[in-house]
Amino acid sequence: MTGPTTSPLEPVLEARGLRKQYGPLVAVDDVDLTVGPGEVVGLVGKNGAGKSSLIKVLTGAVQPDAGEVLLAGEPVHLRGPAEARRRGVGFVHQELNLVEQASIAENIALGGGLPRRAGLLVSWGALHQRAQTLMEAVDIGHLDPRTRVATLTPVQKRQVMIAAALWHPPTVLVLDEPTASLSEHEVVVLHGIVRRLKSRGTSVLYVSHRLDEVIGLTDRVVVMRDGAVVDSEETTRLDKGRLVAMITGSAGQDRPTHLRQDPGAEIVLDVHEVSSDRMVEPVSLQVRAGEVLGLAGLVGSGRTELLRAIFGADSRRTGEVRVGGEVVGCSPSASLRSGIALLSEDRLHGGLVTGFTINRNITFASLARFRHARWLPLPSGRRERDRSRDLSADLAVKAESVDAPVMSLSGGNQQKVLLARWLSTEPRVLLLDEPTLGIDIEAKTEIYHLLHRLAGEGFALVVVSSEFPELELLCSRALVLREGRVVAELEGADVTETALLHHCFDGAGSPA
Amino acid sequence: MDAPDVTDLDGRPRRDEEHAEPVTVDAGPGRGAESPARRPRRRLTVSQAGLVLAYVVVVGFFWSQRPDVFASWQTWRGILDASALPAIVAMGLTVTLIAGDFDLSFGATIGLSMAVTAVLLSTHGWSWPAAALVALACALAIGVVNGVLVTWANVNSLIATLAISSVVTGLDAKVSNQQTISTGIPESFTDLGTTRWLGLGVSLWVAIVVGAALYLLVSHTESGRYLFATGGNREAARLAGVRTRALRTVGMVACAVTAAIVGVLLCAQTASYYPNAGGGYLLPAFAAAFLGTALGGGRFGIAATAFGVLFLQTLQTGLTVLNVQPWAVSVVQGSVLAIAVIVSTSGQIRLPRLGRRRAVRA
Repeated sequence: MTGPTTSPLEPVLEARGLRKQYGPLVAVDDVDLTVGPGEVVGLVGKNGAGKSSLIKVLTGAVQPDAGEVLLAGEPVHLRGPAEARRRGVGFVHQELNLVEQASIAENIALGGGLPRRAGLLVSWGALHQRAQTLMEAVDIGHLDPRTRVATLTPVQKRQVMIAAALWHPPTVLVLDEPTASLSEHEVVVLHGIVRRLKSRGTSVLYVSHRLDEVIGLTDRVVVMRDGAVVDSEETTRLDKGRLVAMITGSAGQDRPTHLRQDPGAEIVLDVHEVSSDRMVEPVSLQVRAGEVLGLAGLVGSGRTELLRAIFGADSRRTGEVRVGGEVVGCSPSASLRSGIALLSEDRLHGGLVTGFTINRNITFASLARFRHARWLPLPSGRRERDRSRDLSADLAVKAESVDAPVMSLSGGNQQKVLLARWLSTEPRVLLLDEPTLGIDIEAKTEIYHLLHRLAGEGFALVVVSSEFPELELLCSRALVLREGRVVAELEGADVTETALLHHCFDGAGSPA
Repeated sequence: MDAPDVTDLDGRPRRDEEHAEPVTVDAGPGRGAESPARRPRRRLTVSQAGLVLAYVVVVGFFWSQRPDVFASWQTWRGILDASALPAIVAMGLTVTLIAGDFDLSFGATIGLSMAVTAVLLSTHGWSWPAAALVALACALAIGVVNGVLVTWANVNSLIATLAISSVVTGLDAKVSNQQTISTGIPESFTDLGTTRWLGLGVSLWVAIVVGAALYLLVSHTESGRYLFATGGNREAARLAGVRTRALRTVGMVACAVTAAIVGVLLCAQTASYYPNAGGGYLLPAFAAAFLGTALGGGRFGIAATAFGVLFLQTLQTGLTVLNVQPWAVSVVQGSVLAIAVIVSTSGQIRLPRLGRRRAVRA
């Protein structure tokens, strides 16, 4: 491991011993980081390695628990993004957060305060003039600053966001995945802008999953893993293979024993050429009884969209889904009737009914099974509780009682409650979107063993995960998605973290 | 009134119940036998207890000021009678609110159904059940239109129902010619406004029946559970196979139909139609439903809303008896509502900690 390389000149942005903790989770772990004047620093790491958390601290969006941020060698206390901007730290979010109905000029001035005439009225002339200058700096000088943002292309919107970050001339500009949703051609445009900023002396902290551009664009690369900076290296000394190894952490991590098993012969889930409006192109896949199929890919690669299209949560544009040979209608209720259940990625948004008890969250998707009498749609509280108690015990939900509010549980136990909900519908196919997201190690292990057991009982499982070690652990087969397309299929012993990562990152490096 | 029961649907932590040990241990089938009821006891929260207590204090105050009036059954019957119509529509509105939507059009629907009934009776000489059925059918249509606008066209429910309110007000004016109608309404119909069964007026009986039906629907059926889930987390409900659009439409229809019931009964009670009859019901219904949330631990409930109506009506009657100026009555009612909602949303401090400690000592 190389120590942090210091730049010859005094750094414009420096972090010393930065630490940010969310409950037991250490998101940023004693991070030291420097960005020299005019330097382009790449920040890379897996999903959840702590890049976003670090950026939030650096740009004043959250306050560090320990450590300090220095600007031009001077310790500063950034109370918020606005203050960070004023002090010369510009930031462009990964998400496109523009006011679609407002003009380019209004969006550019949004965070900076509109120029006023006599301190009161907006001086539109001055605003448009200023906006035009900034737009030229980001290669959209040919557009009218009065254009509504809603009419722009994705890359133009990205350019508007960068122009907005230049409103207060930054000494250092943080770009978080600026090319995530852009095509190759548009990426080139963006890189041109970054090089121009650099030539004018602006430093850039560039966060990206695309290793090619990190190598082509940056002067130095900082690698994060599990919240800590684990490597910092001059880009000229790196190649993609090396970078993948640094990101993965080639050093031996303790791996739990493999939980894979051989699938049965019967094809339970047959997805043929399915696509939705949110997907790039149709995808086909088959899952056998007892099989755990992994869907790997980076955030935004279209895994969630695929699961939602299979389940009928998004309406399908093409294709059909069969379970046990029977065609399944395109709606959540049709899928549930046919034995498909979807554990959605976001426990709160698409999962828990926060006002309900544990019991009612479990029985809620299969309520008709708990009637007093078959013909009477009145749920029997006693039957519901019996079922909830059985499932809670089976999944080892740690709670005082099934009548406790579901929000009184920890994340892992909430996830088990949701699994119990879907198991209560007696599915044959379980689609699991990030089943271990944001839960502790112990609960993760329990969920691994549960999924392993379910596969053994003949369920067909599809697991989406950004944590590739868990796919390596569980899956007998895995598909890799990149930018909405299936780019690789791995089977058996080939499903390794390294191979998955290799296919996720532009097919870079050589799989070990 | 069995008000605290409405909290049943998704209660507070119930730590004082029998099954205090972890579920993982508790799942054995034998356990249940020890507590045959198996139904966990509920705990009152500050706001629940607070609202009941506030009601007792209010009644006690009025009683101490005017014992002659408040010791009389007549007064209480008057309060109940006056509560009947507001309660019917407020309970219907509660169904809409539970599903997560608002309805601002029911005031106009009351007016239209009153006009339709009065015109069919006086101008066309229809029998009153037929006229009432037509009024209810109109309301059904209004509810469906509201539902379609809100769920299929994805219009914000406040805006959609505001727009429909304007449309319905226009239809009301067209049907009635904006004239007060007070002749030609048959006695068989106006008798509904005066007849008493077992000492209670017809409107009150209707309120009881509507309330019981809605309470069963909301708190004891699968659809009721889905309604709460839809209002609580629409995406989760959808992913669980709940037909959230249909349910939200049902919520809209429930509100419109109860509004029509109020319109018909109002026509019977007053033996007339007069313009702008429904507007006065709009805000009190919302007030009662939100006051009810203070009782339901921050959640809507049918019985809670009924209690809210009773509370507000008691205040109104009591203050009137004490010769308080009407403007002051409004100020007091508004203040009570604001305080109750503040307490119910922020009052997470739970009384029964005391009860728990006591239980440990015992």
